[in-house]
Amino acid sequence: MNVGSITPRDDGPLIRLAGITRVYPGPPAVEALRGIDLVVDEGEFLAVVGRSGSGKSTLLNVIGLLDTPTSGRYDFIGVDVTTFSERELTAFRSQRIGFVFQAFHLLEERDCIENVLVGLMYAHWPRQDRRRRALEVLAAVGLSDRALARTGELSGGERQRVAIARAIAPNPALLLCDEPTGNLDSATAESVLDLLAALNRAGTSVLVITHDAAVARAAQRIVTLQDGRLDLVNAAAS
Amino acid sequence: MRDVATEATAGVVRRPGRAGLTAFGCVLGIGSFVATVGVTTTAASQIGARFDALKATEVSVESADPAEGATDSPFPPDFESRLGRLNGVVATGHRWELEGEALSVATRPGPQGAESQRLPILAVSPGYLTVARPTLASGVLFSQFHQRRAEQVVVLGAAAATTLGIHEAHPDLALWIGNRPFTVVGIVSDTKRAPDLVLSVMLPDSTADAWFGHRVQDERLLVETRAGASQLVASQAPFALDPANPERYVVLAAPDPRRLREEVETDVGSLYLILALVSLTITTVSIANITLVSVMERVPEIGLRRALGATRRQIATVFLAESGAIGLFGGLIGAAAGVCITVGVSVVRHWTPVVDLRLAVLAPALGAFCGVVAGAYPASRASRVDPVLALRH
Repeated sequence: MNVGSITPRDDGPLIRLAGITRVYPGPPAVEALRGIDLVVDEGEFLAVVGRSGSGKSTLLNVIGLLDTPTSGRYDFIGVDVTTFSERELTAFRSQRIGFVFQAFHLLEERDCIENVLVGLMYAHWPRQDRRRRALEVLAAVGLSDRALARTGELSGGERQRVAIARAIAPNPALLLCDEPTGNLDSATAESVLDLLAALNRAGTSVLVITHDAAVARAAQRIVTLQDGRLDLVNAAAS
Repeated sequence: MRDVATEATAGVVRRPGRAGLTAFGCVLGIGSFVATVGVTTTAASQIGARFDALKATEVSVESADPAEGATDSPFPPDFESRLGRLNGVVATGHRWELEGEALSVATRPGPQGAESQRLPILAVSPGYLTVARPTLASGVLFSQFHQRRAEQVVVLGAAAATTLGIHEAHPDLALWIGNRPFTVVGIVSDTKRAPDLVLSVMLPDSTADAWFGHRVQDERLLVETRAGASQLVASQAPFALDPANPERYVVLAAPDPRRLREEVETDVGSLYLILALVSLTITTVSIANITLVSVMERVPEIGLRRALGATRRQIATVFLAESGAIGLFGGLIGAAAGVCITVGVSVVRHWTPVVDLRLAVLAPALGAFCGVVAGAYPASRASRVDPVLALRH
């Protein structure tokens, strides 16, 4: 799919979820999301907080176009993505959304720059620009000197930074983070949150899904998910 | 124990693809072992049969138009000396089968009754017995002496002797063919050629002519030649017997040694082609198994790649390319190892190694092909991995 042919609407929000549900057919059927209405603006740093089983991961999968909602409408930069085919979703996702996972999900046998290059490859970046861009984002996350180190040799914090570099390399419209500090000690977690905040200040929209209130406090806005419903929409904590 | 069995069964049944491939690998492993032994033995026997030295020195001459019941022999009386002049002929024999209602065989004189037996009665020249290379169980063979005098003697095949209840040849032992007495001079237990002699009663052909008249029935000459001379003798024999009408005879001879060589080479080639195909199949299944295990281990990576934007086809292509590359690499190493082994074995056995260079080039391509074929199923499995589930690993 040629994602360039999609004309984003400049005046609207980055994403708008209206009445999104996700039911996993049973038996017994599980209603993981029950009518989610959520708007995330360009440049926003939003945290979705919820306990285990509240539907956080399902929401992340739907927003990240890894899963399709059972009902409702989902607009991404003004485009209704619920009508996309799987192939269109894949192409759209590769260029518009960056993922950061709790478990890092790095290619352990590859070095840092190769991990970043893989993200750029699937985002269809021109081959001649990839290396330059990979070095650029590694520098942005403070890993210029570890570009050729194998990810298996890095500390937890460094590995998450490589994952963040891979996620932001294609210049996505949204950075989706699933418990980004879940596997890190508090000091390292702090530095990763600082990095996400810095990226947000530089213009990247960030959506963090977490059960940790301390992590959520790094965001401008916090929403709480409970039993598949958004209960509270808080103002910025910081 | 029951729990172990239950768990093991579940492990196999719940992963039918993987279990099937593993089992198939085992089937091929054992199958190739059995096939290697079986096919090698079969081929060796086939090749051995082709190299039958006795058959290679045997020529048989028959009438091209055998007239049933004719009284004239198709062969000239001096066939032995005519054929004996041919280069390469070692011995010549003549035989025909006697047939008639009156020709039953009995150990007592008198009217033919319940004690008489219907046995094949062959009129054979002494030369025929020489060519047949019999093993005597008892007594002697009849000779030119008996032949010249048309003596009333018989030699029994072991099976015929058993049927008649005769266990030993003796000058006083007689049997009756059509009420005519014959002395049993010998019993033949086995023959190298003309195995039907063991089942028959044999008498000199001059005796048969004198007492029963000549009736053409399965009449032929059997010629023993020196090794390698059978083709030449076969081509010359009809002219030696009747230079004016050589087409009167049909000659059967061992195959041409050159053709024999080609046939043996074909047998050996078939054997090794079968073994090579079995090996290739084992290779393919092995790569398939390893690639499938690799897919299972790399589910999180597949999920990541899908999240990053890889399409199902891209995922499948990666695994196909990987297994193809493994096959190509294996083919390269295998081709080199194969050439080294061929040369090594040749050196040890003092043979001249023959290596088809085209095969050395083709082998890596074949390896790559096997790799791609083997990777098809694992690649398909990989492409169906759900990224949501995979990223939970």
